Amino acid sequence: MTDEFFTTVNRPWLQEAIRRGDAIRLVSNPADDVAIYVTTRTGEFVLNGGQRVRSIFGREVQFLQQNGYRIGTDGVAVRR
Amino acid sequence: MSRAIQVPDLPSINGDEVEEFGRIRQLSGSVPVFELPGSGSRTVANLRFNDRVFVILRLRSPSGWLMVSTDEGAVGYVDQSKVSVGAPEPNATLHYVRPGETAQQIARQHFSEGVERGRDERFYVNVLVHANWSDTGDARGVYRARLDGPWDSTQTRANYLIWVPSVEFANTLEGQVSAGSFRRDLWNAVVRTASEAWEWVKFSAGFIGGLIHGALECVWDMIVGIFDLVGMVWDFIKVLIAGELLTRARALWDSLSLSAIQQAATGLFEEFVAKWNHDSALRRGHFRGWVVGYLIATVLLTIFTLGAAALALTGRIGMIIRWARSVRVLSRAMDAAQVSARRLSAASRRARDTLRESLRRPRSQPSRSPAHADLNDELRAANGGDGPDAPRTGVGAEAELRSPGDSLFGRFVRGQHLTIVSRRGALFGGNTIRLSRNKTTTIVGTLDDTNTVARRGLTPDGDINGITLMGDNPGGINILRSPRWQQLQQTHHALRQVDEA
Repeated sequence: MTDEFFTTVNRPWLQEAIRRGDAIRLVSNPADDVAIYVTTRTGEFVLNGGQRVRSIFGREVQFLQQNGYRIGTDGVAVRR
Repeated sequence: MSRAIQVPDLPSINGDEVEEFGRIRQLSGSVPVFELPGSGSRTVANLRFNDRVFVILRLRSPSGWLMVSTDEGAVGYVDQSKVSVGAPEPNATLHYVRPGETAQQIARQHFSEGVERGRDERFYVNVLVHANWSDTGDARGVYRARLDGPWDSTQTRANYLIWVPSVEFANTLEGQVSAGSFRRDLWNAVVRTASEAWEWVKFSAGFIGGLIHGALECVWDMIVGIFDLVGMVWDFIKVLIAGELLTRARALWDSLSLSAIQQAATGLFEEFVAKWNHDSALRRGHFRGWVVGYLIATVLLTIFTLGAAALALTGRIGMIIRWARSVRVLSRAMDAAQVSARRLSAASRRARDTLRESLRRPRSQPSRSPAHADLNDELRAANGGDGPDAPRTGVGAEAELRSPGDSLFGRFVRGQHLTIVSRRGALFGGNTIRLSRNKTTTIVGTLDDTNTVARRGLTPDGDINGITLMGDNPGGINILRSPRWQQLQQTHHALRQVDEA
């Protein structure tokens, strides 16, 4: 699994939203491992070198956190 | 409370109504039609010899200019010395009489296809004489001593321009007159009949002129004080009106219903019904065109500033947009506007951004039409404006969102909230997404969850309603899983396969 789709599509889109000063709202649970990591159709986590692999959503959450956002229980991401 | 817009009436333009067809009389070169009377303004059309114009007004000040509309729908001003007015029928053309040219030769040149047994060149020579006859004795290019004189007494004057009626028009006289001669009253009766048959042409000339006039007035109203922008914004709107609407003016008119327009226009236009039903076809056409042009420009200008998000507006502009959506020809223009709004040139994008920014601020000076404030306020609010008189709750009332199966599956108020109505469970953070009035709200989530939101961005027919878009969407939602998602996936299909492997 590569990072290319995320870096080509999702990250620039999110960067633009941050640059614009958008309000950011998560509609999926960032604390839910099934959402944050890639799973197989049977629900097992996909491993790469023994490590779970972040989903696109997982990478978006990570990207937001790296950019100083804190996600509240109401789904709203606030920049610290 | 709505205030009425002062609708400019024809007499308020400083000139006299003409309401006649004319033809360009300059034999060579082009004749410019100017945006304003006087040769210093922009040229809106270039006409050549025999091009037809509908002469709306003969200006008193500045004198020497005619306000005309062309067959292609351009409206402007032309030097009156370049136009022959008084065509006997709308399809009549001008003929330049060369030295030595006889009336019979002219008749043969123009009417050869109509000549048959019982309707020979003598008949058409008489048609030429009647079409150009002057009761006051003015010199004409084709004439004879007496109107009812023998056809072979007809003479010509070289270097004169004469009117040549169309074959179809001339042939309407067949059976009513002999080939040798016919009476003047019969001629007049035929001209009247032909004129009535061309009522639509007169109406449409006024309608087309009104469309342009009303649309331009709207742009001036909306872009108060930002004179540099008027040209750019007008260019955006003009292309759509000229390209889609003027060429289909008849279809547009046929598809409009008074009741629907009244609903959209109630309170905006003074003396609406009286002007709408005016006895004069030109005046009637002009006012109807003005109203429709104003409403269309309102819609297109809203799309210009908001993109597809305009389609989700409520309030008065929302009502006008829904009206326009219900008219097929206008709906096509709106689609074209959406495409254009997505493909703006860098200059147009800057113009749009400047306009948006200006709309967010309170007006520094009143609209040209003071009563236009209602629409302007709504547009400003829709752009995240924060003027003192802008509605505080975004744009209008809550919109109910319906699924393709017509069940209620959402509620939306721009700048306030999108609420997902669903039996399938809740989104993280709850099913109500609070929206910022002045900002775009970006939605992040898994494929399934973002898709749940994205579905509320489509109408039951699958059209984009503007609630969710990809990119800047003040008061609405920016979502990667937008209706552009399919296109995006195709573009990055290979990458996605790698990532999902």
